[in-house]
Amino acid sequence: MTTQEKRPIVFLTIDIITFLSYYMMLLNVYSSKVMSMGELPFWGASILLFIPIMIISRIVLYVLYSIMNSVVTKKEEDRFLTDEFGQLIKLRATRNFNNTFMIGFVITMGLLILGISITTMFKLLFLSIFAAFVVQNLSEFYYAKKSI
Amino acid sequence: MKDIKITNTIRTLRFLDKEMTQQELAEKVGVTRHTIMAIEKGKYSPTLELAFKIAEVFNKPLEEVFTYEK
Repeated sequence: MTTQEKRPIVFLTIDIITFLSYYMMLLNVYSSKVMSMGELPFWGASILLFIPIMIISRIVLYVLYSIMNSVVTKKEEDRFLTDEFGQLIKLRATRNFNNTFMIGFVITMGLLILGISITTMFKLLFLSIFAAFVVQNLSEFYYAKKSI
Repeated sequence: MKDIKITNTIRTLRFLDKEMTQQELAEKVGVTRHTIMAIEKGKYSPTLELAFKIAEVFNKPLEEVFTYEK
């Protein structure tokens, strides 16, 4: 497996770990925080915090992975996504990320019309963001494997 | 995905050039080995800039490395 194929799998694992940890933490503090902040500010802050946490988690955990990988395999990490083909793969994966999130967003808005609660709406939005990250990583893996 | 009509002779040229590896060619033109693999298999058409760089490595004109099949 090439670095180009390994990297999205590593990111997928990192995203799943980060999302599950963050979501569990949110559910734990939900009752106390909603009482002090209110429902809408709580969910707004949760989503706003989620993106930087995801980015920082990706950077930190990937650096750790690279160091461990270099120590174990005694090989230097290959350059990735710095050439034109890598950029094309990344662009297509990002397009799939956007499409997945938009589908999730539209479905959530539709369900809102049908009368779901605000809490469920925000939970669905979280799920859409998570699904979009998963699709992005799987797309990158697929395009790298198939060479588009 | 549509089949690309641009074919290339990179594999042959590498062989004739002291059996140059994909990694060596990739390093010479500044891309990853993955990109060279994709170009060789005809799965990806490089930009003009990269195509010229590859031709330059083998000291060949562009049309000897890449051919457009009608």
